[in-house]
Amino acid sequence: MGAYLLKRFLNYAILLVVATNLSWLLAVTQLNPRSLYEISNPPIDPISIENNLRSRNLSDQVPLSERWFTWSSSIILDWNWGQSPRGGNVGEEIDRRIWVSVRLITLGSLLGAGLGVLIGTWSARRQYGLSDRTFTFLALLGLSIPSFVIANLLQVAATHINDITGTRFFEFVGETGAHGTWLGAQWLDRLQHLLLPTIALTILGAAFFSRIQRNVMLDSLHAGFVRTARAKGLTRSQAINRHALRVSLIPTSTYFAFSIATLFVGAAFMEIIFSFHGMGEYAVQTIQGHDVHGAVATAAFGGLCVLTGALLADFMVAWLDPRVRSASTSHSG
Amino acid sequence: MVETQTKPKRLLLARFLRNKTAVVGLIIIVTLIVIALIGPWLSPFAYNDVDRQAYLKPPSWQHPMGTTQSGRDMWALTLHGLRKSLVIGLVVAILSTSIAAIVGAFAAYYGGWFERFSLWIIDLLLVIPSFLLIALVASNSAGSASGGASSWWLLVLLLTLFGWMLSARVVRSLTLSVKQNEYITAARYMGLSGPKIIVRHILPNIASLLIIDATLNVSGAILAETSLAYFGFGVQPPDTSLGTLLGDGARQLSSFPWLFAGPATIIVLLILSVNAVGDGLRDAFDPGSKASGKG
Amino acid sequence: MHLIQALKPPAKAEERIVTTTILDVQNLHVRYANEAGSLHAVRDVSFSLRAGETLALVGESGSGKSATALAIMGLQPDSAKVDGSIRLYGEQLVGATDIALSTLRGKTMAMVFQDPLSAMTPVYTVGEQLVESIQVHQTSSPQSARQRAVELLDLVGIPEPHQRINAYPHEFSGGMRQRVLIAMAIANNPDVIIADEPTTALDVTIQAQVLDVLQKACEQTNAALLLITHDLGVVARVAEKAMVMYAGKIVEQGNVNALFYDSQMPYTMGLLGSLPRVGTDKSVALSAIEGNPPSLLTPPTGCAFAERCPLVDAACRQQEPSLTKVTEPDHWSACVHHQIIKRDSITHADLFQPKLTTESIATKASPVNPPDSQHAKVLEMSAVKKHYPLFKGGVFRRRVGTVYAVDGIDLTLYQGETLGLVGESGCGKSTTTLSILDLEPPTHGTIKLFGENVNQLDSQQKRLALRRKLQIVFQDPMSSLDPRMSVFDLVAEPLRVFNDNPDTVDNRVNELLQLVGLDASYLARFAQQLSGGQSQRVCIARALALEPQLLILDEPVSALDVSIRAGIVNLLQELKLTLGLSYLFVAHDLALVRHIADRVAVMYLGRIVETGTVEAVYENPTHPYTQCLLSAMPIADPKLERSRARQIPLGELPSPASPPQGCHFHTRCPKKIGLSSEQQRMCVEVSPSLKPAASMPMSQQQMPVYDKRTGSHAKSETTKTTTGVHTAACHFSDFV
Repeated sequence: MGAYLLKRFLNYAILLVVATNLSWLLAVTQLNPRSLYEISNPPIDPISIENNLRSRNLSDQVPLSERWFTWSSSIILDWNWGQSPRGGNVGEEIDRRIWVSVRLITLGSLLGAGLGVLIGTWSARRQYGLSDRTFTFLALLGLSIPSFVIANLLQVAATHINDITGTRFFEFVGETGAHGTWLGAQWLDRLQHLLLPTIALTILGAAFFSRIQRNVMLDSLHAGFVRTARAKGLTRSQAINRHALRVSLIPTSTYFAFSIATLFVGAAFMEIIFSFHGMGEYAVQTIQGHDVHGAVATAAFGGLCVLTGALLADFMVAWLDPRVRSASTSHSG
Repeated sequence: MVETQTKPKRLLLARFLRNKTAVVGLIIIVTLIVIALIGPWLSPFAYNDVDRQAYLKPPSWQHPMGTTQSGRDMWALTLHGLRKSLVIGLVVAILSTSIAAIVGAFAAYYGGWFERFSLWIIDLLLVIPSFLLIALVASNSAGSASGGASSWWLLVLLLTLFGWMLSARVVRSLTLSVKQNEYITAARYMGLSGPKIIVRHILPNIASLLIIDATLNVSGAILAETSLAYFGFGVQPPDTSLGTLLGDGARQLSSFPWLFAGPATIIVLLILSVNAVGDGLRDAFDPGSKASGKG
Repeated sequence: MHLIQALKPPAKAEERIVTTTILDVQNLHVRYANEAGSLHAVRDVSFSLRAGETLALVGESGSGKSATALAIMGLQPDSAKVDGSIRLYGEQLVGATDIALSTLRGKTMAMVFQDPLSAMTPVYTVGEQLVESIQVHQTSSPQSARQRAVELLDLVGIPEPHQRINAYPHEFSGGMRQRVLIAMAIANNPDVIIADEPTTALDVTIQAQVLDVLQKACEQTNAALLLITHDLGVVARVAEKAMVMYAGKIVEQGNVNALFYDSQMPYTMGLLGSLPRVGTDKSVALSAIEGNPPSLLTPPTGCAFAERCPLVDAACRQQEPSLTKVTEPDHWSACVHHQIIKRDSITHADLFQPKLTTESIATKASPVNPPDSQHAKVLEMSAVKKHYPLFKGGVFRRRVGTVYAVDGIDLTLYQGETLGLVGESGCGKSTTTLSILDLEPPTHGTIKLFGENVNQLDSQQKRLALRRKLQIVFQDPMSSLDPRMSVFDLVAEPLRVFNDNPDTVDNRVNELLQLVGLDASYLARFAQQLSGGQSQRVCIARALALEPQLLILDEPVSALDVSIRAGIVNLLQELKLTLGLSYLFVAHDLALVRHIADRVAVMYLGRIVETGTVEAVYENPTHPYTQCLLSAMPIADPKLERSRARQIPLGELPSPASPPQGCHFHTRCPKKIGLSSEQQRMCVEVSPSLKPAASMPMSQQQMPVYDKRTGSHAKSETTKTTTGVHTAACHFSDFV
């Protein structure tokens, strides 16, 4: 077991290193930090541009191999992911932004998955009934609308409600705003700001997970063990709740483990639309701002998220499914 | 047991027609394709015409969907964008499903180092945040003067490059189960070569999955392009796609809703219809199994 | 709860009057709605089950026997419509609510399902599932329920129940899981147990063990047993009464003896006559029932069996016959001609005359000399080993050892001969056949085909030339035909691979279809439009396309229905003689192997433990494992089946990844107990090699030949003395 895990981690590390280096190569060749200085008004002296760029290891006049060496050695030796063209350390920026993303996505993804499981289970038990068809269609609709459209529409609706009621109940700029000094006011304020992005994430998550849960639930509803449970004397509902539901949660949880890790970068729309300064927004900004090191670091972080998600999903299966947990044997020819 | 007299293809059609959402979806798709094809004759304006009398005007008799900031007719733009989005979706879907079919089937059939290598490449491409990389390359080509015509091809290639891996995994696992069938063993003992077995026996037997997969890849590619376009990494002006229009419109949603409403309606209709058809196909091909390849 | 109290007499089981009718089914109909229409799966079935009685429901797949069982339990799928009356202690079950039925299920009536893996929830331990069965109906503390669960596991023969109660279903073998399902069924002392094909997925030796457990369980709880099976041997062994079901209807019912020795319905006669039996003249071809059962989408107007019945006339097609009492006390048959059958004492021999005996084919065919060592060797395997790496774990997969699938076997097959390879699943039979077909060097040893050493095949051309000469027919015809291809393409494929003249392909395909008894109307059909028997015929045609000399038959009939099997077996016999083929016939059905093979090799855990001519091995089984196999095999002859002493191997097949030291069979050998400790040590430490078997015929008591006509046990006529070719790998084969 230990050796196996070690091998697996090693493989992941290699994947991540290769992916990060490829991203660096691509970023260096595709982004042009010099253009940021060249368009400035009044014009900046070319020599000081060059000096600025060189000091941040961003000058395209330095040979590629030398830039790569500087970049990689500073990561290895100092865990320093470099500087943005305008100055400012990339690593520090990311450290701060990760927590913004965590605060943004946690509630929404949990609610989305929970609601999705409820709806999916409900639908599967009433397959082809009116409620099933309605939910199936709504889920399909949810997956067919680009997420920024959902977020934007929510924003418009919230504005209208605010206007009509003459309140500022819905907040949609940033994480915090003005709030009272009474106990809990700070928390309420944060929750108010979280409300809209959380609704958007919940809609998306519920649409996605209700489909998954419905499919796996239908499979386990018709499984032999549900029939056995009923033959023992359990009613249909008891058999479904104790046996089918429990088994169907295995694949759904795996998807969830995987999806929550990838949401860190995937929630970029929510961050931009609701002005949360998290990782997704940073990813977009670094590219728009020709920030080579920022883009590479974000890419590396995204890769890490994917691998963590994969590992988390595997552990989830191992935890929930005794067939995987215990050593089942198989041989191949 | 007893022979079924119904012809397989008939049964497929009957099962598909039973799914009303899918049938409506198919009708909408066909209508949209027809509109996209005859688009240039449906509007007095070309998508790149500028009406100097009408900048940012709401819908009127002359411009049924209003005009943009630069005086272009939204209706003509939407028609053009629809065509571009459809082309992107179809080309990406066909290319990435083909790659997935070939890589997945060969990896599963041959196993060994080729399988390990393919899986590693798939893992690598999954680990690289595709969105970022596509954005990187697309933003560069957007900046360069050559943009325009060549940029959407580049976009298609990038979307394909990062779009085939999950399908390839599904193809691989399906091939593994098809490979268990004794007709594959029988073919091997008949003296058929590996590639022939894959082409004659394996791919036809996972064709239903490939068709479903390609269908869902169409909507996936259109959605991906739309998302990229929101940040300005999609199809670049003066060319346009539904995504580009939607991205531009979303920024001015509260003040100039007509820039957003048209493209948004069309794109949701399109993707919803494609997804519905994909679901209908899955039910038709595989009524027993409710397991889906992709959520 | 009140329902049960109302239904169930308060009296204890032993106080009940034996003749109490527990379950009474009247005019039961089950219809399934599916895409093609309404499938009338059960048509007007009536029967009753009395306390403590064992009633078998026999039928082929699709005959409606499982649908009947599910309808009784109220577990039919939602798409099914049940009509008629099912009364349990007088209470109507048809139309009862799920809640009402759930108070009866598991308490008054219990069910044992067929596939024991999918029938258990994978994420709960065996103990948790058993405790649940107990606690659904009894208010007992967790400790006492658990204690009861351990007792139940012990009762059904799970070794070390205290530890095993914490295991998950996937950690049990198929036989153990089936035992657990039986334990669950008897947890609340039910009055009726319905067992749906409880041993079909199991090997013969395990089947024998599980049948014992099932009988014991019924005795312990004094429950009546409704046993659903397709295996007439199992019926003969277990049941007192039986019903034969065909196309959704009961066509004959009565006491088992009456049914087996005095069948009144042509279908029953045909079924019994199509079975190869140990102790019959093997030169006579099996009698096959022609054709296929009708589709129940459009039930026939006349007798459902009319299309296949030799006695058919116009009267049969006018109206479907109903069950009529034909003989006392309780023998019923549904046949228009039941009076004629009874009057003329018509038996299966009168109705199903085998078309050809093997002799008559032999005289017709090009003369092929009987096989002997003078003949060319088609296949020669010496000291062949085939080992695989063993991987462990789903997610955390890693190599943990080696599977000794084939572990040093010698086999020779002469031209024109049929060699039977016999053994239970996991013994290495299939690996043996595949390692021959692979044309690759095995892990160890040499394989020679037609005199050519496979290890030295240096060119692709040679390999292809060899390829043509050997072909395979698989067990499952559905899985061995590509569903996307027409029959024509399927049969033509090998011809095209070898670039045979395209002009002749059409003719050749027609010729091949004719050879296997299919007409040209099948050319355009797809595999899913064929019945099992027809599919297997297509497989045989395809295998014959390249005119091979050696055909490997890997369980070619075991996936087929009983009534279809005989036709395929006869076809294979005929083809062998007309085309001069050699067969390697792999099977687990010993009676079938005796019927078709010239010589037989018995395999256990990768090794051959006994080999010799069929006569020698069957009459004088020398290795204890062979003896066990022969005695575990159920025989469709109730008197014989119940009278004979059984020798059943202990426990289960060890993993081929860690075969026992010394004699592989010593862990299960029933003979070993009788040996001295010195001798036992030899079994454990020294691996026995094949040595000539003593030429002592098996005691007549153990394997007599039953003559159906006279109803007496006659002596076997063929007691040839066996020669040195009969060998067995047992240290103490002489030891009685």
